[in-house]
Formats: sequence, C-alpha cells, structure tokens
Amino acid sequence: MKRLIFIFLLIVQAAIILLVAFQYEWIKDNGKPIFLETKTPITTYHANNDVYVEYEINYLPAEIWEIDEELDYREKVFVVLAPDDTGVHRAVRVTKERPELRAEEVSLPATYSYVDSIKDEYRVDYGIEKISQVDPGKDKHRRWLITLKVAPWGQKAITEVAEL
Amino acid sequence: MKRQELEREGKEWVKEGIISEEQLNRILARKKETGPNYIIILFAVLLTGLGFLTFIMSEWARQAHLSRVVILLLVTLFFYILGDILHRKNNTLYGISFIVLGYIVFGSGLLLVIDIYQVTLFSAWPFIIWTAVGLVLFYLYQHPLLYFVLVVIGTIGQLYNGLSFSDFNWILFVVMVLGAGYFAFREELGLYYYLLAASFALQSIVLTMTVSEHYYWYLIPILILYLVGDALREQENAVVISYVTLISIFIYGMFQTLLLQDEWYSPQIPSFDTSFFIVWLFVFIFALYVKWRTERKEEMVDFVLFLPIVLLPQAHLFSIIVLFVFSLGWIFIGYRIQLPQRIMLGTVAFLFSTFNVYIQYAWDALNKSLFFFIGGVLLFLISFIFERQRRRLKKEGSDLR
Repeated sequence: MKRLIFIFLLIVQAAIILLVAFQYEWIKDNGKPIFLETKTPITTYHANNDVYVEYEINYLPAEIWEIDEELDYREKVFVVLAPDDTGVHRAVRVTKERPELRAEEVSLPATYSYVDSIKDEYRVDYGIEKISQVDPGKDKHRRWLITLKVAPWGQKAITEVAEL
Repeated sequence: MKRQELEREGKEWVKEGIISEEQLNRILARKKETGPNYIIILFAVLLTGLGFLTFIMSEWARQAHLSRVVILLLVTLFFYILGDILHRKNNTLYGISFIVLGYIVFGSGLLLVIDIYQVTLFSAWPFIIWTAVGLVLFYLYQHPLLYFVLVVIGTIGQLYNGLSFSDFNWILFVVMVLGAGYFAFREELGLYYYLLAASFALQSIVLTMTVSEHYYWYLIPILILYLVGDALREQENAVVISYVTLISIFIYGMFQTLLLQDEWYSPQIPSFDTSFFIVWLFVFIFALYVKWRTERKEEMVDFVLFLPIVLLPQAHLFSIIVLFVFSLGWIFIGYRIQLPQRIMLGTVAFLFSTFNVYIQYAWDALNKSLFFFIGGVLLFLISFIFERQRRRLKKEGSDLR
C-alpha cells in the first residue's frame, strides 16, 4: 500500500510541474492575443538580457476604477481591456469581482499597488513586467509593443516584443 | 567501524562462533546509542538543499525551456527513488536524507517553473502543494527530519503569503494544523509539538497583521493554543506547547509596552473595542473554567499575560506591571512546588522585564556609559538576590527533611 502511495506521489509531483510548463506552451499556441503598449524608458534588469517594462495599463485613471472599498496592498483586481482603433488594448474598467465581458473585451487579473492622489490614478501590477531574453539591440527609449496571449483562466504568456 | 561494516563483520563472527547472535545485537545497539553522524548529515542535507534553492536562481536554470524542466524532474525522481531504496535497505538516515533532498528539489523546481513560465501568483498555493506533499511523505517515512522540513516550509509559505498578498492563507493553515497536528498527536513527540506550536505562533502573527486591525487580536489565537496545550496534558510531551505559548505571549507583552508608548501608533488604538472584548471574554472565561475544573489553580498566574491590558486606562503602565507579576509569580510558584524549570523561566522572564523597562526609560535619560554601568550593577544585584534566595530555600528544604 505504501509503495503505491509513494509511486502515486511521485507521479503527482511530476504532473504538477509539467502542468505548469505545458500550460505555458498551450497558452502560446491557443491563448487570445492582446497587444500592449509600454511606457518609456525601459530599464534593464540585471545582466541577463532581462528588462523591466511599465505598461500603459499599469496606471489606471480614477474614472475607470469601479471599486469603492479601500484595497490592501497586492489585493487582486480585474482589469478589463478592449482594443482601440489601432488594435492596441487599453483599460476600460477595473472591478473587484470577475467581470462580465462584452465582445472584444479581455480581462486580466492584477494586483493593486498604490494610489497616486495627485495624478488621480491607480497603480497595479500584472506579473508580466519583467521580460527575459530580450534582444539587447532594442531601443530602450522608444515605446514597445508587447504581444501577449491570455488563457481563459487568466494566465498569460508574452510571445513577441517589438518596437513601436 | 561503521555500523554497516560492523553488521556485516558481526554476521561472520556469529557464523564462526566467535560471538553469539545476542551479543552481536547488543554490540549493534551500543553502536546506535553513540549516535551516527546525525548532525553532519543534517547539515549535508540542508546545504545541498540550499544549493538547489540558489541554483534555481542561476542563469542556466532561468531559461524557459522544457529541457530544464525535464532535468529538474529527473533529479527530483532520482533523489526520491534513491532515498526510497536506501530506506528499504534499512539505511534509514541516508534514505531519509535523499528523500528530503528530493522533497526540497521538487519544491524549488515548482517555484522555478512558476517563475520562468510567468505564472502570476495570487496566493501561496505552491506552498500548499509543497506542504501537502511533505505530509504524505511523512506519513510514508515518519522521520523527524521530514517533519521539521515540512513545518518550516509551510510556515515560510504562510509568511510569504502575508508579506506578498497581505492575506492569511486559511487552506495552508488548516492543512498544517490538521495534518502536522495529527502526526504530532499520534507520535507524541515533544519535538513535533514544539515545531508545530512555534509555527502556529508565527502564523498567528500573519493572521493578526492581515485580518485584524490591531495588534491585540494576537491574544486570541495564542490563548486558544494555550488551551490546546492544556487539553493535551495527558501527553507528557505536549507541555512544550504551553512553553511556546507563554514565550510568544511574553514577547508580545514586551512588544506591547513599546507599542503603547509609540507616538504615532498609540493614538490610533481605540479606547474600547467591543467586538474584541466579547471574543476575548468568551475564550478567557472558558480557559479559567478549564483551569478551575482541573484544579491547577497555581497556573492561573499564566493568565495575567492574556489580559487585554490595552483596554484599560493607563494601559502603558499596566503592560509593564503584568510582565513583572507574571515573572515573579512563576518564580514564587516554582519555589513553592519545587520545580526548577519554572524558577529558571521565571527568572529569565524577570530579567527581560527589568531590562525592557530599564532600556525604555534610561536610554534617553542617562549618559550612555552610565547606562551600561547601572545595567551591569542591576544584574549583579538581581543575581545576588536570587542566589541568596536559592540558598535559603535549599537550606529550608534540607531542614524540613
């Protein structure tokens, strides 16, 4: 009996790790593509050709913030995005509960960071601000267009980084 | 000679008639008592495990490529299977070491794939899986090292959850308390109770900081832990739970003396918190009732630390007084029932209370060198008084006999 449990436990552990890896591959192939614009300048993260970017949608104006209660640092929120005329996705509203989406809309889970009361905007993080293995020749003083694939359950994968 | 060699050789000796089977067993038992290189192996496991944890930060590991995942998995499986084989061959210590290593590599691998594949976390769920796997492993092998590692990992997971998401992870908490608690209860090992109680006390800090608005809510979970320790009195080793609770609540008490003086925080404390008071009263009366029923009234002195001092006027003064009442109470009762452990703990508590007050009041007021001098003299005095007291009691004790 204990032998069986041991073998089963090994399989479960391997499955969990593989699941995370395969989920990523799946999202890359089948996720819904969205296009995000970054802010400038882009800062380099340690040696590794990693960069740290800030997206336009990291800063959300108070008009689209549909949450009344005061949030704790890193509490989860949902940011609803919709493409504008050029195809780039912009934030349209922010909710606390999982939002109902109209056509064209996508929602991204994010964590609340802080509120800037002077600019009247909210700062959130998506967990995709760090991009690894970026071609070092890219101009860090121009805006970039990041292509992202999103899974229905909210996880995402960066598939392309281009200069705008 | 190593135990294994001895075992091999010994069998030969038995065969040749040099020693009897029974003699061999006794020799082997002796070998076990002198203790193998337990500590060395422990450190070997910890260092190798730490090696893996830091390795996942390396450039090689951080490439999002399936080959990395496969290699990591193979290493995990290798450790687990090697450990299992060694364990079955009765080489328990090495077997467990490799299993623990496999366990650590699994967890670090899980954290690594989560990071390189950009899975955004909204709770400490990897730690829930990691802890749960540890519990199953403990069920299979029942070794203190496994217990230690899994409790540490679960606690770190809870602290991480608190720091990163300002949230308390109830699932992790329940998994730990029920799972690890069940094993501690079954094995009746002091070490397990000690680890789990310490973990509970730390997790309660996260709970207090994230769920409640004010620090004093910490009293409630710790009082409940105290009650659990009381309820487990039947098991001799469960007494460590009480010690852990009292140490936690004493540290809380010292911290409280600082908080109540804090210029920024203390005005924010409400003068009366009804909901807290009701919850507290409910648990406290229950605790008193239990103490009264089990007729251990002398232990009621423990409860002075659980009083909601913050609700009183002049709370700051009372917060210092309770520390002294508690430590003197323990020393006094310790002498009465002749329990040196109590006297020792009471004395340490008394020292801490004294220095807590001394540092708070004298640091600003006194010249620094004078501060240390007076502190030293104070210690000499305390030690002198205690020594005299001890001798007198010893003398009285021998007179009585």
